Amino acid sequence: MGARLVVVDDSAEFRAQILALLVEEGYEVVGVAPDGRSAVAVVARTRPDAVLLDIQLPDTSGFDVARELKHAAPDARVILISSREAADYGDRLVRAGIPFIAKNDVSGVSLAAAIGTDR
Amino acid sequence: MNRRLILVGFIGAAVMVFTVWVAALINQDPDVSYASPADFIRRIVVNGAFVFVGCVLWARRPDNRIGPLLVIYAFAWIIGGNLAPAAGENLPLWAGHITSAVSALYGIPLVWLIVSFPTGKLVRGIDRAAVGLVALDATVQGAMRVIGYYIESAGRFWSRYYPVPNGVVALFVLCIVVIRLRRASPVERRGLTPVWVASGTLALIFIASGIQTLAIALTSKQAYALASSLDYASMLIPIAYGTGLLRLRSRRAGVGKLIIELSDQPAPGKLREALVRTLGDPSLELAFWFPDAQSYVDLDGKPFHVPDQDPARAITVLERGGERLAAIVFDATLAEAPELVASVGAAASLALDNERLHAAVRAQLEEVRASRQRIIEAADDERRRVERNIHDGAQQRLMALSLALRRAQRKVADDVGAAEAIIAEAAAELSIAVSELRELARGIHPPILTDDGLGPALQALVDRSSPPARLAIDPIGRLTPAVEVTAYYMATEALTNAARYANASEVSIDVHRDEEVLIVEIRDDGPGGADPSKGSGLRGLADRVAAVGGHLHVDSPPGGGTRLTATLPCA
Repeated sequence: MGARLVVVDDSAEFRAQILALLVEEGYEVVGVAPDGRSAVAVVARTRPDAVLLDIQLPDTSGFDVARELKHAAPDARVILISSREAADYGDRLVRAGIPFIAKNDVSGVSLAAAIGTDR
Repeated sequence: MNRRLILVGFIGAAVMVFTVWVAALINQDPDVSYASPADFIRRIVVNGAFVFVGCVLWARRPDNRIGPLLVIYAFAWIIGGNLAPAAGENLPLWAGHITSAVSALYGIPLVWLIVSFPTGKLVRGIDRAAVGLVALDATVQGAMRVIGYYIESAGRFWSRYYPVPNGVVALFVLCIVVIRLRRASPVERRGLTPVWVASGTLALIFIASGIQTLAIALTSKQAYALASSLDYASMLIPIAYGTGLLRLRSRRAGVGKLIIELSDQPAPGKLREALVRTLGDPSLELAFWFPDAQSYVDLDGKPFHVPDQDPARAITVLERGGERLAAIVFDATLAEAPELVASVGAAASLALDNERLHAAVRAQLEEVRASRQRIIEAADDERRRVERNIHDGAQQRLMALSLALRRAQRKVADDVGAAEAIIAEAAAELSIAVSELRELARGIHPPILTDDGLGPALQALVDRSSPPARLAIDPIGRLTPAVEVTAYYMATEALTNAARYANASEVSIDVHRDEEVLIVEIRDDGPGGADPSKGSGLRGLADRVAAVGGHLHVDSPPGGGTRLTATLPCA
């Protein structure tokens, strides 16, 4: 069985595609959330191994959600995703110390590297 | 001062002379020589001065009560000071009682004069209280003299203590005067000289009568000397009002100098200085009417608030040919010299053009600065909106698309059918993304406007519009890009507003060319009530129209639909 994941993204089209991809790659998607507030609740309830977290959410920023998740679910590994490039965030990504994948680079390989295949 | 006024003054004074003569005939007390020639002359001079000035003021300003008050005071004083003292011996008893009863009434017009300057009207409650108090005191004084005639002990008591209630009244009035002087503006303080003089006289009357009865036993000769010096001192009151008149006349002479000075077309800023000098009011302000904004501005073109609710400030609006030019805001005390202010205003109108032009240029500059700022902000907002639209719309679709293609790529080797399905889905997604981008690009700048001009672009806009829209356009040909974009932008803004706020069931767009201007008129049948100063949309539209040298008129009565009319120069 693959890692248990939660996907947080406000775009329905993108969510649909990434869910299909994750299932095809053998992951188990245990929850989805369209915004930051429900993301924290879903993660706290489902206790996933990893969270794919969009940075640009309608109610808050993925950085803020990641900070909250550190307390709410310290075991969940957070991977930030965005339709922007890493360079668009300056050194915020480095300072946050969270792995990042640009949405157009999301693939089985990049996900496996970020989530870690040891599980 | 014209002849008629002087005549009125002399008639009044003649009546006074006759009264004094009658009083002297009645009142022949050998002890205090009430009928001596010196005494007779003093009464004529002092009371004549009161009546003369009073009558002149009365005739000159019938609505001002200072004149009648001066006259009333003089006659009341003749009765109180000349008739009453010896009335008991020279008049029948009943007449003596009447003169005694009214003998102290002169205090009423005196206090009234002091507290009501410069209008003669009792406006404030405390002023009315002062007059009420002195009226009570005067009545009690008169009554006690009559009572004292019959009851000896009461008479003795009163002849000793009558200055006490007088003193209370005098102190009360002096307090009012001191408070008024402390609160007065510089101009007002200068104008309050008559109040000083009158209240000083009041104080002297009180002190004199106090000395006479409370402290020292004066001989009747000393008492008489004191009374006559006091009488002469009271002449300061009409003299103060008389010089007030003269000062106004000398300021009038200043108007002549002002006209000469202003005929030289002074440099901006000098006009106010000249007005301050002529009217003697350093607090004077000059505001210029700025027709573009329908409001007043100062010399630097900054908005100027005309204080129309402030009782301490008076306003004179300067007009020429019914057209408002400017306003002078000055100390309300000066409003008591309306002829002076009017002639100063007339003189100022002559030299106003330079300063008005200066103020208008500054105000326009301010307006241009502000609109430039707003245009930049609107452009920045627009860029942010476009970025967000791209990010939320097409970009998300393309991201999803790239995922779909990666999935298809993985499947194509071992599950061609699944890969095909994914690719078909992706193709559909791609065509949505493309049309979204197209829509967005058209919102930024419609290619049809650049390629085919305003008419076809508006027609395309009307065809796509969600509230049904109707277009009537003359064949206007191609115009400058700036004018075409502005007219087009106006139509999109109006359609957006009609759809979003106005709930309009129909919008009509009329475009025609009148020689060198393009007139765009857009009407909807929505609820109206649009305010360009509130919504940033209409404000931005007005700025855009102004930027190409045009003018936007918004007519949006509540319940009456909205009509936008833009005139755009297109020579």
